[in-house]
Amino acid sequence: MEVEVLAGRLRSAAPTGPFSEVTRSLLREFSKRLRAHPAAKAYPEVQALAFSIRPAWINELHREWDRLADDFSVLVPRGLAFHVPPGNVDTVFIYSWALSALVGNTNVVRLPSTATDQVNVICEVLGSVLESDEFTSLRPTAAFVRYGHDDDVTAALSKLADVRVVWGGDETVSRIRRLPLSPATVEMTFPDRFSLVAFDAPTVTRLGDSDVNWVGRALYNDVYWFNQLGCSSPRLVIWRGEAEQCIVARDRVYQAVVRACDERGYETPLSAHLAKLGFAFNLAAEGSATSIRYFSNEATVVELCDLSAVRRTSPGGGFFLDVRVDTLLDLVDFVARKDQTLTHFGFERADLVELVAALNGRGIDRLVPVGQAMTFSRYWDGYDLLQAFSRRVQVLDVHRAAPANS
Amino acid sequence: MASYETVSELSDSFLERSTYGIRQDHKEAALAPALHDLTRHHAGNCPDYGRMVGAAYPGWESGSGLGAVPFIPISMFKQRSLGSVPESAIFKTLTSSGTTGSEVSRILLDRPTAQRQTRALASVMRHILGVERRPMLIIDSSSILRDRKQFSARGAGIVGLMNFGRNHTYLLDSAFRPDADRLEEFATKHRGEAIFIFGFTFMVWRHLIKDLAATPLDLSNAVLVHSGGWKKLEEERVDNGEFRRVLAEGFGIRHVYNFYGMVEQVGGVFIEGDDGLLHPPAFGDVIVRHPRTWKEQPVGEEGVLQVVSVLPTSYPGHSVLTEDLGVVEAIDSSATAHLGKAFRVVGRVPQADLRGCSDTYASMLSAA
Repeated sequence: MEVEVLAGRLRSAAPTGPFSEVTRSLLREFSKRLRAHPAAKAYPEVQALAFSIRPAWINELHREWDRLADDFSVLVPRGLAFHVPPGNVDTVFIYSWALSALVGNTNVVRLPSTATDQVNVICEVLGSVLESDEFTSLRPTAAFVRYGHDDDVTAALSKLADVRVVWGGDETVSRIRRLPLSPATVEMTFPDRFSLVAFDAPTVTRLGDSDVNWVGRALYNDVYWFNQLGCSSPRLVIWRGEAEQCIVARDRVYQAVVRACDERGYETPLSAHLAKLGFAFNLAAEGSATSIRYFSNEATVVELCDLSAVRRTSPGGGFFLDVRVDTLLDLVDFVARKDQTLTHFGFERADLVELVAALNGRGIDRLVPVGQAMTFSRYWDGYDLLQAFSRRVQVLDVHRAAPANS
Repeated sequence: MASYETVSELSDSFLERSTYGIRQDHKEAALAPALHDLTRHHAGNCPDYGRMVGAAYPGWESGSGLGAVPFIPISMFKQRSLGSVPESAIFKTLTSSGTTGSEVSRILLDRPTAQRQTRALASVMRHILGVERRPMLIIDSSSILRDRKQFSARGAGIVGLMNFGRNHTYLLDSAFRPDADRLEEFATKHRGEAIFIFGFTFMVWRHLIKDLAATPLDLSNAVLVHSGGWKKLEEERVDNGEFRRVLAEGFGIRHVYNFYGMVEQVGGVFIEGDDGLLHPPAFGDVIVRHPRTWKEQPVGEEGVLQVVSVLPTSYPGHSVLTEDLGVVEAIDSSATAHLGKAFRVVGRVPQADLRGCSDTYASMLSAA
């Protein structure tokens, strides 16, 4: 389809209101069919997507949306949202689209250039739902397009958009940022991020075997869905506690995660294992690593001398950088803007809030329990997406006239 | 710690042994302690290496037996410049472009290690070429050698083997086209003589076998040695059997020897016997490791190849985990003149794109 044709179609779309019945119904049906699809069994991230956009979540979002409005303002859609999702996480484009659609925007989504099975399944199911008569009115509001490395198309869509959402690597973000937007258009960028997990070692050592297995499965979900390449997948593992406790806790957790890989039939490809080995040996050679522990091809663990040895690059596929700390507050000097998700196990809310306060905005946008690293939420990378996909319109009535002139 | 002279002498002593006449158990009994000595030598003199074995092999100092010799991934030679002698002693740097990306291995040789390299090759080549230098046809272009200071793997291979021939003639011109006149001249001049042909496997396939398919040539008096891997030929579905068959039928060449080795390991020179299998020399060996347990595989079971050699003293390349898959087919077989292991290289470890959770799950699906 020509860009002009697409543009015309998008402009002529009659937007629905925020959380309209028809949009919620579309997502209900989409979730239902996705769950029933045979591919959902094969791809846990597809299953997770189907689960995430279930009616309960949408209803909760709806309630939260209602609470966003206040006595002085109303939220309305921004108009046309242009989403550029990342290549490495197959389902993000749907989350991005779903939130924006619920808010009431018209959406054009650029699909990842490499068509994975997951993307194909998702598109096929969503397409089939949109086919039904019930959703005729929504069809022009949802465009999913795939094109090669063609900046002209991206530029044309950018000019049309009221909000542009760019997910993906730093390079993608920088390249797309060079393409101009209309003066009033806002942009949200989701560049490369780095994530970590913190374990309270004494808590881990006290766990019973079945609880340790639960932790292993939770960490499995956080790490392996996207081969540890998702931004919110932890790559650095913080162990809080005495050295001996940390060793015991570490062995228990990694052995459990290896069992979880076994249960799910996840195997790191041999070439990726060799790449991890090269990474680990290089860290040892330069003096950053004190030990390389091999639990299985799925779990290569490199113990670092301290946080200053951490570099925020990783080969993925089950490569863990281990650092021991005395308190979570030891992270304060280390954390940088790039750090996104801190998954945690064994800490009190007060510890976490204390850390966030001490960080004072330096980095870390999410602190979630282990097992929820990949759980999408309206809060992402420091944005409140519900708010960001909408525009706040101030409404004052005469009786609340500004007190400024008194 | 032993002095460098002591370490060097021990390495040299392996070149005095019978190259292929040692039973595997005797061979391992000699290799293992020498390799452990080398680990100590390199750990003491190459700080990077010392830190690697220290981190990855706790208690390595007390290890014994061939299987317990620490290995480092071959990619380390791309990531770091590893040397166990003073920089001033470096006599030659070998480089190789890897197939995975643009990084280059850098192998630091001092004079003793470089000399051992030459002697190692000689002791292996003597077995197939005899002691006399033969007229040599090189299936390449002389332009590959232009930069003599920084040898490419291909250049280094050619230079290394040129010592075993005379009247060196390159089949290809500078544009890498076969030069028919030059070939004719070479053939006429050396009619009736035993000749030596060397080239990289895919160069032999492309430029000798395919380009000259229509040219009537009798090379039945030639010994052909080729090296460099089968990757490009696999794409054309050519295996060792087919390769040998075409050479025999098209050119009458019946003495064809594949040569497996890598720039990263001096002394890791493995040459094909009449059984079509590769044979480690007295100063080196292969260990086939299970790709998940990393334990040594039994005969007949495929795995990742680890190569060991007692010859590298200037850099820590005595025990290297390759990215090749192989299988030991026999040990101390009486079928050939070679004792020790007889193995086959199956190919490179397949490069899987790590986005490929799809690959993993696709295989689960098809298994279900």
